[in-house]
Amino acid sequence: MNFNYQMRFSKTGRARFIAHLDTLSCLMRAIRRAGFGFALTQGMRPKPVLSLAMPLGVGVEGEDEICDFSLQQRAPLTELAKKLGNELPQGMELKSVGPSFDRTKSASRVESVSYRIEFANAPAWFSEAARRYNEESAIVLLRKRPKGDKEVDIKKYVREVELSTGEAEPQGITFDMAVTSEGTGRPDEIIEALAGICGEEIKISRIVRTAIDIKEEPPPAPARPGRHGRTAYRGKRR
Amino acid sequence: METRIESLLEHVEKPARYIGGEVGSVVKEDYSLRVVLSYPDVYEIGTANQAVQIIYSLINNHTGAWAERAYCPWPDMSGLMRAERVPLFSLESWKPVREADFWGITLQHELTYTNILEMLDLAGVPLRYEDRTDDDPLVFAGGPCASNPHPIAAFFDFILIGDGERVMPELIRLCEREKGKPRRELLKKLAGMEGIFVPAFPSQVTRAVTPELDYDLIPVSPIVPSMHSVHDRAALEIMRGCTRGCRFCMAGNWYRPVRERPMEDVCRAVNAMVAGTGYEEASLSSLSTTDYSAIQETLAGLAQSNPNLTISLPSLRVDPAAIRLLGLTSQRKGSITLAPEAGSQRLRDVINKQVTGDDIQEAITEAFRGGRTTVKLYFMIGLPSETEADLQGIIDIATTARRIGRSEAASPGRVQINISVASFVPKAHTPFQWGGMNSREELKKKQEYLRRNMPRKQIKLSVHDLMPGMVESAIARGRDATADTIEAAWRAGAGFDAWTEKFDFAAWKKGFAAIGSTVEQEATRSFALDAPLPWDDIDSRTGKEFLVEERKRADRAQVTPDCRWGDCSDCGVCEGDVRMITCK
Repeated sequence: MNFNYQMRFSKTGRARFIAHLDTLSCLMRAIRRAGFGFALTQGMRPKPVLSLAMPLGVGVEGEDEICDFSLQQRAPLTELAKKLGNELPQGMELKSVGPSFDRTKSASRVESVSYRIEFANAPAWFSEAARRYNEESAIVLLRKRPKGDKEVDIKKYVREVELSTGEAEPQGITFDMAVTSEGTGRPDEIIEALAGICGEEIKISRIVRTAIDIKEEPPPAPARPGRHGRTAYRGKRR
Repeated sequence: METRIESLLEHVEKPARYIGGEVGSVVKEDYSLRVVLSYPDVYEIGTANQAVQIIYSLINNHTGAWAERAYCPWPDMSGLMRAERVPLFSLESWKPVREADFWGITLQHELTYTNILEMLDLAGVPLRYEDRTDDDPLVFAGGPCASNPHPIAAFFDFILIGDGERVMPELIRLCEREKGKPRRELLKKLAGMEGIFVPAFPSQVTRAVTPELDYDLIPVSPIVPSMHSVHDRAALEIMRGCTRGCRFCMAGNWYRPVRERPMEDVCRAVNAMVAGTGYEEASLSSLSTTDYSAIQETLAGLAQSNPNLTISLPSLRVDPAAIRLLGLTSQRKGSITLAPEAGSQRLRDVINKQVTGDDIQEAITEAFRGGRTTVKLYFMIGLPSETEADLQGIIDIATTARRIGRSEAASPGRVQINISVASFVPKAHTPFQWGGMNSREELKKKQEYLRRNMPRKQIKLSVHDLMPGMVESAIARGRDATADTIEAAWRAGAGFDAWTEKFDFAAWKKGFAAIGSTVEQEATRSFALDAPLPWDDIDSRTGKEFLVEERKRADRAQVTPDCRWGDCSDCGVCEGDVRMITCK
């Protein structure tokens, strides 16, 4: 039997340059260093059970990232938190860790993510650009891809952006970005859209993902008798 | 400086190469001297190097000095650094390398030499030692290629010859005492020390040897890179030196005698390393790991204490017993690499590779019976006295391996034999140091012969490019003037020469033209047995008479047994406290 846990952590400063797959290895090694044994996947090449709710782009900071993992044995929570907290590499910090009773991974249930983008320069036009962004019904960008460019309507994912004026917080914008079954956007696409509206370049000092919103799991399907009279389907097991 | 570096990182490939802060890296507040250690290649190659790890932990744990690291920035980064005037910086402090007291660079192979110049230039340190002032760090080198320091000597203030552990503590103490003195004065003092070659004050230098491998000097908390590296595993050197006596092998002739670590030390260190790093794999490294006296017990002990750990064994001996050992390591099945080196018994006797045709067949049989489907065999062409019959021998071994695979493997259809053929590069301090490399024409013909005659079904032949090997050869047995070719090649754009897609032969052509020569002329140069050699001032502790004797035995195809199991071959290395140490 596996014991499922969820941790929340931040990845800021220079650690923002650690790529997604390398972040996974960093977390796995931290958990092993802390002295906890991973539950392994089934199959020819067993792998530790660990996943992140959503990859973070290289160069983007994360204030509240979500990692699901499974251990072979139950871990005392205070000990897990303390040891894990000590073992994360520089720039990554544990915020919380606890047992998880969900049947599905967070990665399959991300509903939206929130970003904060801080500007290095303070363009006079950006409040105007933001207002116009919010009024447009569609903003189509060209996404360059090796397999052929593709048009995306970024408004499908980010309906509106909010300004932070720079008095209480750094000057910039915040917004929520929807994550749908058809896809999602990237934070730099919002900058591209804003720059496109007013035809000027924006210098960015930080891009921070502030939150990942996870959908609640639907209640478990009522136990119904299987073909052999026993409870058959109980949801996808991790 | 920090914000400038950060703004560069937004625009480069794999910025994690430059961020530092890895688990196991050390930041010191109080220190007597600041030392930067470098492997002259990109981060993910350099972090896998054990020499840097050993010296890094030695300096940080056992001296008052602070060791940091810097690797060679990839061209995208170095381009931006030059454009934005950001000098080469160390990973731990993000401070300029130029401001360090010492800068040590490991010489692992000749094709990294242009990167050394690239790093010096990026750091803003004058390339040649003569042009440096008291404001510059003392730039030093060490590692296997220091065995012939001349081709690179112009770029270093001093060069460590032999085992770094032996020299480093004393060196740091001396430099702490003499801090602030003019560099020439300090260098003069260093020139008198054991195992230190100072190009400004050249003299006869004897290789420094550490009599035994000390547990305290094992880097038990090595740096765990925050990004994928070429060896994502813990590595422990379980023994140094090899006395098999293969006559082509630089390391086997240089790092004598055999010094094994006690088995308890190996188990204790591996367990500590794995617990401290979170790696799932540990490698027991040495020049010939299956020769370690207690290898079986060690593997069993490690499997017991750490059942989920994968142990990898590099450099397998061509011998069925060695292959069986792999069964103890829970290593992923699939492929196995063996190195018969030469195709015929006669030529294997010439190079003193004491492996018989039966050994090869039995080892291959054992590999297929053990569940492997791919066997990779490693050969060299261009060995002294090689004829067409020896090349045919390579083809015969390949077809025999395929036949064995088809009859022994569980799924004969999936059997694959990979034949990898490199060109022999003669190295200093080996019995083959006098003879030149085969000419390009000869090697081409030999490669052609193999390509034409090697059967294709289930056999894949890959031959190495000729020109990188020729450049390696030209430098390896080079002289002081070779430094000019390295600098000229670098100025013409050579860099990352070990990377196939970056190797720029045109640049090297210009490099050798700078001394009025060609790559081929330098690579194929032969010396008479009694002629003086450029590296004669480096005493490897193996007597030159021994090498001459070995050269003559090679000409007679006469083998010299390993002194570990046979009689002493009188190489002259065991003297005083330096002697063979086995753990049993």
